[in-house]
Amino acid sequence: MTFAGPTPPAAMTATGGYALRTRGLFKRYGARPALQGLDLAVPRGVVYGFLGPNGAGKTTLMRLLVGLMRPDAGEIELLGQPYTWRQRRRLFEVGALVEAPTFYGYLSGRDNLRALAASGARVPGARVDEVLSLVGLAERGRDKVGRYSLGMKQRLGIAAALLSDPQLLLLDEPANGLDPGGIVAMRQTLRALTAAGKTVFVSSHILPEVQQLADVVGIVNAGRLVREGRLADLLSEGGHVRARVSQADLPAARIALAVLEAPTSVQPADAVGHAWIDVRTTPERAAEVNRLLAAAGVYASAITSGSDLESIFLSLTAAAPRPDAAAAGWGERG
Amino acid sequence: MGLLSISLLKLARRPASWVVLAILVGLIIMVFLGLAASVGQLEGMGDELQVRALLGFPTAYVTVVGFILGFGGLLAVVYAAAIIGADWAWGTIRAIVARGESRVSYTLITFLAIVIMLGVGILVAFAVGALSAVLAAEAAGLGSDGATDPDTLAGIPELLGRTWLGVSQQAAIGFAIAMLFRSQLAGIGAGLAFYFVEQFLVLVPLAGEVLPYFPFNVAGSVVATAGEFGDGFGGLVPLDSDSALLWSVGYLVLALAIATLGAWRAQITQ
Repeated sequence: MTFAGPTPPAAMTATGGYALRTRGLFKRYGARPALQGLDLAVPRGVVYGFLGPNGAGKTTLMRLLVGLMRPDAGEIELLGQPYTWRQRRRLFEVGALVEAPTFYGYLSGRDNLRALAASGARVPGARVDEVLSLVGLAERGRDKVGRYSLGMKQRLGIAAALLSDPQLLLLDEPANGLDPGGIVAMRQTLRALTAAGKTVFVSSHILPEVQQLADVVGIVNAGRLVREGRLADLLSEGGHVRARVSQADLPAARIALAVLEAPTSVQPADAVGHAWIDVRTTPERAAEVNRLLAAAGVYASAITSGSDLESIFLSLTAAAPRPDAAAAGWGERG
Repeated sequence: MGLLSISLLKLARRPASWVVLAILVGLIIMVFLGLAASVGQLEGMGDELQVRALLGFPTAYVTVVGFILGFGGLLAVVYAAAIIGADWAWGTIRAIVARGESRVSYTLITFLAIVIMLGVGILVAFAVGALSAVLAAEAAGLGSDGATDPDTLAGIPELLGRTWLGVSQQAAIGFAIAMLFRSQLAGIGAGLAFYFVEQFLVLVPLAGEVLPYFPFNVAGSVVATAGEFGDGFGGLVPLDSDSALLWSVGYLVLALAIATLGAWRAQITQ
């Protein structure tokens, strides 16, 4: 199944340069490395989807970018200029929603935004009402945040990130808690921002959402960038065909599929002795895979194919859950 | 709106501000009710003279201030720790720092807002306390003529100013501890533990020599005759009020330096 990604806006090529770059970024939490030489290049005027499994270093990067933490080594460039955590004023051009949105529950949404507007880059009072309207909270702006739903808090978090009309917007899981209407509205808002030449950096686990939104994606695993490029390019090369065969037939299946000259990998066998063999090839070759297996006397109990971001993500991060065990993919990863 | 104005708005809207004030005012009213009631019961006993001294004007003003420094100081430790600790516990400091706000400015302005709120609280508590003292003195048959003595009234601004400093200094300790531990509970717990350990250290032989210089004892000594309540415990001789004033300023500055350094260096992971 392939989703059509959005056409990269003209701004991506017209504006030129990078909104954000990192070079050799390292960060450790005690003995545990979180980032291990992360090199990232986010062009101006695009929506950049930053993907990675849990513990891959996504949130750590966000914290480094907004000065919450200091890198152990490496360089960051924000909007074309070098940035270190001491140059806090550089963040005046950056809006961020890092991790879950945090507000004072006893204050109204509007007062929370006023409190934020008084810090960092000063913002005119009218802007508070403007961003409240933009995220659909104009009518609930005077209610206490403690009474907001998760989705409303998320909207308020996005409003807070937009307060200073930033050139670069950093969003950590922006669709978290939003209802379908909210997700569509958010997508439109972010699209409008990039159309105006601004850059949106989205860290997310929701791959279909990123696939609909991003122009460029970077995939991080274990603190390193494993792939970066235009989403359209990635999707064109990221197809797969998967066949479910018995464990006993695996050697024969691998020999039979070798003629495809495509990389293969095998997921561990399930409780009933079946394993998934994954061929990195275009989805159109599913029938050929089936024919080759049958010719070798191997009968697949299931064959799937696709070319979506999820399969690319799973193949690059080796984070594929066992198809037979939905819960097997859970748990923190390094 | 400036950062100080918005910090004040946050504190004014925060239920904890008014709960803390209500506790202090409630305690003061109860203490004066208790003192008034005890005058009759202690008649002819030595303690009666001490209670009469506490209730009689103009000393009663100092009695009120003594309660504010004692109970109020303790509550100020909790209050300041709760305010700054909540910014860490709730993660609200994350959004502020991510907007490019100076951590040092934010820390100092937050403390300044707390000090202003403490000032308001002290004024309210003093007004309620003075009124309670007048009523208690009248009820005990002591009269309250001295309450309007011009010389006494002229000294009240300085009395309140010193009280404000003493209470703010105690608040700064809770503030600094909460900032260092980046936690409300740690700030409140460690602040209170610090307070009570200091009070009970007087039982340790020879500690009396240095205890007057300890922060909470210093804060309690900034008002000259407030010693009716705090000092004398275990034979502790408090610092003279002017020396205590200097020490108090020193502790205040030190606590704020620690808090700002803690904020500046912190790696924010909450």
